[in-house]
Amino acid sequence: MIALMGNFLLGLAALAALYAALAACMGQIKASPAWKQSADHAMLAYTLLLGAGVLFLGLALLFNQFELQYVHDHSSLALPLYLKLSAIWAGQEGSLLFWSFMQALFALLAVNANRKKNAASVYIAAAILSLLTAFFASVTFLVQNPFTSLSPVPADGLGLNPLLRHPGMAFHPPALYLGYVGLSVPFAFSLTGLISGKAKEWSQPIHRWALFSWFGLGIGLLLGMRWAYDVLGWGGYWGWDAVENAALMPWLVSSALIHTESLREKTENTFNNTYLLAVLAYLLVLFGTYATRSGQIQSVHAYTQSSIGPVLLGAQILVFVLSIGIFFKFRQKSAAAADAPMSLHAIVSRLTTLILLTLTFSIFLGTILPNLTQAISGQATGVSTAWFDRVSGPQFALLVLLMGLCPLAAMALRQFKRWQLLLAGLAGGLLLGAFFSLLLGEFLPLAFIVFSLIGFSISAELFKFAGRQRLSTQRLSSWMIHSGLILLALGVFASKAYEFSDFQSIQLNESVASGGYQLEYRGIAQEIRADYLETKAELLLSQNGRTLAVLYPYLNQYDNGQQTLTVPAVCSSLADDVYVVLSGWSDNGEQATFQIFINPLINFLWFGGVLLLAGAYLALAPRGAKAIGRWLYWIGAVLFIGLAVWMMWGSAHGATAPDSDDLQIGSAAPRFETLTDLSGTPLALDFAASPVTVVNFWAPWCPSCQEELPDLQAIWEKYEAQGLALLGITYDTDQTAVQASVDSYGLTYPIVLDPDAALSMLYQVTGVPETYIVDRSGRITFIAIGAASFDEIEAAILESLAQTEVVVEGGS
Amino acid sequence: MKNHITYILVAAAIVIAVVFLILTATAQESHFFITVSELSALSPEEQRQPLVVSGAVDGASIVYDETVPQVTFTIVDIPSDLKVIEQRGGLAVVLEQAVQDPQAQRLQVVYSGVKPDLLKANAQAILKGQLGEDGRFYSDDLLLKCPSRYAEDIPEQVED
Repeated sequence: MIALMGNFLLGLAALAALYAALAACMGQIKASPAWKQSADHAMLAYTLLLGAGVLFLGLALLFNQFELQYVHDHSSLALPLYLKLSAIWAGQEGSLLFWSFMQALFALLAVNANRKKNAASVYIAAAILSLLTAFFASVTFLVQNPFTSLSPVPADGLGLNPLLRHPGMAFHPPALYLGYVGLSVPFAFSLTGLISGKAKEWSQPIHRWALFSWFGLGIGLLLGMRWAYDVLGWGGYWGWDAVENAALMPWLVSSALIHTESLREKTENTFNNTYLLAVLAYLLVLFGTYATRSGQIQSVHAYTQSSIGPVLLGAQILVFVLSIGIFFKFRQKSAAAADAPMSLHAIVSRLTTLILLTLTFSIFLGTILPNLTQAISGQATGVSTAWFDRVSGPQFALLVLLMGLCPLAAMALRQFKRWQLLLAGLAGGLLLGAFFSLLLGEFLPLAFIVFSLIGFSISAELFKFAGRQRLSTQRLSSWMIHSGLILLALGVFASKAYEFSDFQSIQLNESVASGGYQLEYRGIAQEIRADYLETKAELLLSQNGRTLAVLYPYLNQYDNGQQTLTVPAVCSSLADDVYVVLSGWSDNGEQATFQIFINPLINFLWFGGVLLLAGAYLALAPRGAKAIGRWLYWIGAVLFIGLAVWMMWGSAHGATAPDSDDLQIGSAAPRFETLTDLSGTPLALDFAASPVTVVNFWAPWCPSCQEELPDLQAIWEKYEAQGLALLGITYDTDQTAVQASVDSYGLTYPIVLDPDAALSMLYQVTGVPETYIVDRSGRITFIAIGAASFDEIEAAILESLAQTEVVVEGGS
Repeated sequence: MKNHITYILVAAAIVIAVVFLILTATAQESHFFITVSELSALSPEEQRQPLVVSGAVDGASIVYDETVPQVTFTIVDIPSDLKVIEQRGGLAVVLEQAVQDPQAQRLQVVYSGVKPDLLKANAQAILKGQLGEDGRFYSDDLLLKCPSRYAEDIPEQVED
């Protein structure tokens, strides 16, 4: 029943879209209002039908209708609500349906927004966009149908892949689709502009939609990077994987499109470049879906083989051939533009476009090289991530340089002369270059050059900001976008050039030094959750004796270890991220292995990304909107920035700040109000009364405590005469067992019972043994979690004494 | 006109530089994608090049030395053609059959790094590295794919 209904909606939508394309064509050719109106109705109809289809699939997921193959494959009873809904785009079929719906919606919105302004040619765009909707809806219906039913109906679904169970799943794919599908609009509009010869009128809508798509792709890319960083546990965020590249390439080309189009608006260049870039961007979108869905690109990433490959490949070839054909028939032949003088600004802008294109070409080549070489020589040759870094790095650096040169070339600057700017930029660059090199410790010549370059561009952007007489929204957004990009570049480069990774096996309660930090392994715990086993380690991260955070890296095993999810613990600061991954442990938990990554300045990447997206959002501000529109826009802005910040730093990253009242070396030791020893005699303990007090928490049944008891007794015998106070506190309620231990180890120092664990709680004791040493002023000078030896305690006592004396001398 | 010439010169320089970058990087950072049986068919010079070899992991052969860290294991030849794999019943079946087939060609692998979670019996291992003088394949870059009950297969990437 559900399957039948879904198929009905989908099939009808595909037909309606095909009809809308035809009717729009007829309306345009015959200039017939009746046909045009009919096309309008059909467009509204297919949008509603596809919307209903998506809603239907969403409801089927929500109500666990496992009779649908798709629901069975991507959901299960136990899945949380938001993930059930996110499962709409978790698989090929559902995501194609969602894509078709967005294509329909954008067609409707884009056509309606231009109905008045471009009445003469808008139905060309309507025909093209409806044809695209018809294509995607038909592919969904015929090749990748989400409404296939299963018989007999299974009791539960397979569930969502653990790697996809993340808040990123709710936002990352739809954001990418905003961009992918959005780019069909500049494509359709530029075709319309070229065919109708009304390039000028279509310019502004092309610009807006390109910007919108660029914004969507940007969100998708940034969220995807953060998601990979948060769950894959390899310390990185970008692997030059074919699927990642597929999203990056249209983003680069749409950047070029936006620059070219804004230059064209200013300088009366031909429309040809805009057209070619819009076509290229959309071809790359089609290539992206092909790369993601066909299983044909790059053999190491063979995803599920599917029959959709040839269809998408055919569509790419068709769009390519038709677009080129239309270009040669309708292109603008203007000799005047070529002779016009070229401003410095135009040069910088054109060079930016050129580099964005060479960059896209390089990435494309790297992505398809295995297929290309397989086709040519029969032997597949691929390239490594190092290839991408080497080829793209210098090109990205050039882009950063151009972002610095741009303000110099801009004519709008009046307060400053160019040489003043250049000088200030160079000075700022060298200064920041030196600063970052010093900050990160090691001096690397290449890093110094790149940091100076970034510094140069940062200075130039600051001057650009200062040099504005009047700050328009457009200028502010452009400034935010470019500054964001430069900061992002800083984060990418520094975390790559100064990356540090280490591998450490740590014994329980022992501490190791790694990359300038100390890590103490404090324990491991396993817990059986809904459908997985969680293994969580606890580590104390400190630097120079100062506790920074308690880290909880964990590892979830699904299906008896068939699949694992490694979630790192990340302690973030402006200077770096300490990223710790749990990679193994001994059966008794006495030892665990960790991978430690230190990523310097990586938060500049996330911050720059958020800044650039905020700038893009600002650039999309509605023009001449009514009051309610403005309010909605600003509410949206707050929500969007809040969400972006939460996705970057807010969601649980397995690190908690140590409580401020956590006992640390240097904190005041909690005082004991009433104490009674084993015989019931009250005991007075005043820290001020003895030069050093040792407080030991223990229990008779604990092996490491037993190991420690003779050492403590020896300390007591050696230092009692010199005024040492030593106290053993045991929270075991079994007084006989305690007495037996005292007798068998011959303990002569005071032992205190702590039946309701009040004393232990005072010292936040998490396990036994723990030992605290307190000086005469009541300050903690030493903490040992776990057994401490005679030598350790003696050294700590002597050090505490020495420090107290220094303080006393200093005071007198 | 002067600015036009400047632009063309700079643009030409950039294009030449990018071509140069691509050529030098390709010369140093590219490698053949091959199967275990194709590896033995290569000439000795070709075998010394950086290669990417894929095969099925023999679970019984995995030995992990945590102190180095280093993992040694054996991979078994599987076909590279997706169509052949589909015909034989999918990747999971092909991987399992390969490991159980005593006739299939095998390759000993030495991977330097922490043992990845997904490294276990019947996984597909894709290794980047070089064939050593001792006939073992030395790698520090390992990609693993496991047949999973979930609909998508997401490869786990392990890098150094």
